[in-house]
Amino acid sequence: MTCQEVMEYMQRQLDGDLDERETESLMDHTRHCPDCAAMFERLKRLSSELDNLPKVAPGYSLVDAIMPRLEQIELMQSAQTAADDAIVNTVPRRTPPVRQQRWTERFSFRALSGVIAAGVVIGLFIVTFDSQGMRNADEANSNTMLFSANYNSSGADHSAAASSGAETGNAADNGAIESLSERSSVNDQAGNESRDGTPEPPVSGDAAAVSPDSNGEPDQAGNAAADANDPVVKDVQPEAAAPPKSNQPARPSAPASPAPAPSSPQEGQKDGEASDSVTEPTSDNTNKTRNTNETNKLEKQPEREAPIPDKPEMAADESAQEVPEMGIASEPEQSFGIASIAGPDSEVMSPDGAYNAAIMNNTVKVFDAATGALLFESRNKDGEVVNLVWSEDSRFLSYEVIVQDEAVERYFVDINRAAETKQ
Amino acid sequence: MVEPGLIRAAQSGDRDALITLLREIENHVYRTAYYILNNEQDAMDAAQEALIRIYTKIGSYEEKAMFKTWVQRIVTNICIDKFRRNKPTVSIDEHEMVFKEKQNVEDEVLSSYAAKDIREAIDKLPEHQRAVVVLRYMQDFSYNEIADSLDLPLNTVKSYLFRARQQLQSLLQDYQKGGVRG
Repeated sequence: MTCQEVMEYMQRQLDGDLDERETESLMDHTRHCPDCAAMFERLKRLSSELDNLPKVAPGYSLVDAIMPRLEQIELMQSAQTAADDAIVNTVPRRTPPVRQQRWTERFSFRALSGVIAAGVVIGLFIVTFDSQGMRNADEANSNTMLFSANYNSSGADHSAAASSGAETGNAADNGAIESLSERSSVNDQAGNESRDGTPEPPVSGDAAAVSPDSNGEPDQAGNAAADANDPVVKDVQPEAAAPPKSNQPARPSAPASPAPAPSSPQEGQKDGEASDSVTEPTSDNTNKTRNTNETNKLEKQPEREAPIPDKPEMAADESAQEVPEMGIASEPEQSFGIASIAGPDSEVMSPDGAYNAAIMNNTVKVFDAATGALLFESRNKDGEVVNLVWSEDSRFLSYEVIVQDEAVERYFVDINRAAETKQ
Repeated sequence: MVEPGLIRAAQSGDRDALITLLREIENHVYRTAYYILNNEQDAMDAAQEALIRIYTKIGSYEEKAMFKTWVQRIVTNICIDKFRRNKPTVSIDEHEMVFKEKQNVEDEVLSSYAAKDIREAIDKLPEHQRAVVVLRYMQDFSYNEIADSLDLPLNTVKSYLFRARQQLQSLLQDYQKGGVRG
């Protein structure tokens, strides 16, 4: 047994790792090897010194010392949980990027649909200009309005195609208001052209200008697209089916979205002609203002339910290319703003179906669902209104306003008292 | 030895149990940190950090490992990280301290190794050998428990421990000789 091997035995002996026989041979060696014996002594001494090192303890309780930090962690964790909950409850506010993206997507769809609608309108106009001449003016007008929405969205689409999709979403957000003024000018122009007998895009533009007044109640306007019972829409639907055929847009692309919306544009196209013939320059101005309200209202809507008009989508692909020639899609910003009209979806019906709440132009309005009467209108909020939620008994409506710096104000509306309180 | 029931309660979200648990282990945690870092303040910091980490990670402890080795793994990891960060600045101070220490030793003419000498000697060991020695002597860990704590193979633990003791022994012998000669 070499001294090297003995060294390991000595070490293991210190750790109590030697069996009897090994201990025996270790002892045997150290008895005859003074060097190893001395080493063994030193190691044993070292080991016992190490064993006897003071069992130091902290001068104060470490747990007490870290208690504040532990509580902080606890708070942060609960805050995190709360935040998670909040995210669930207030998706629109918490996830602006997502929303924007969806916006964009919807946008292009809607825009495409608008393009199609415009194409169809033009086609119909050309074909039926004389025969269709005068229809029920009211109906024509309301339809026109819807149509105009789509027509405008077509413009948006066009520009969207030109620029990147993401930009579209933003532009739509921002451009809505400026676009209004521009649009009105366009409408004027359109009106002039149509009067010249040019049956092309201008006509639809004119129709757009006229439309708002036909819509009497904003509520109706908002619903028109989605509400199948609305006489106007009913009227529209057959026609809606027709135009796509002629345009051979029968693509199966359509996602499961409500059909009514798409139908209206097409109807609008038809009636657009009618309204066109009826329209007088003077009515233009009066309508514009109303139009503004409509625009804003509708602009908000996409954020909510966003029923995507399916038919227009289908046709959109084809007609998208036509747009430039038609000359409808003029200035991008303009079309953005207008395009936002296209998605009527920010209306929220109360659980009992008695009321409709809508966001318009940073105000919240509540309408009687049956009569369309305006029951409540909030003051104009200093920020984007989101998150309309009805209480279960339909007596209260809550909503949030995103003011500057992402701060959120929450309001409650008591429908019976027609009053709102800020929370 | 920490009661398994307490650990389970702490894991299931019983905050009081978790605090009690931390109180039970805080001295063990501190002791390891103190002997690895050889500095009271650093040891306080490291031990607190380890306790906080245990507090937040208690859910990730699995019973297949021993709780005490899980705890020691956390604290040694923190200490070794700290040690690596401090090393460049420490080395200069260390030399001065050693020098002073020798003077003291000479004055006192000790018959046995002073605890301080041993601490100084431990401080000269490479980080892993140091951790092995600390766990072996301050926590009374077996080879296997050390291996679990440090995530090292058993043979590596043994060879670190043996080499560490040999080196300590020779360092201390030098100190003592110096003292005797002085």
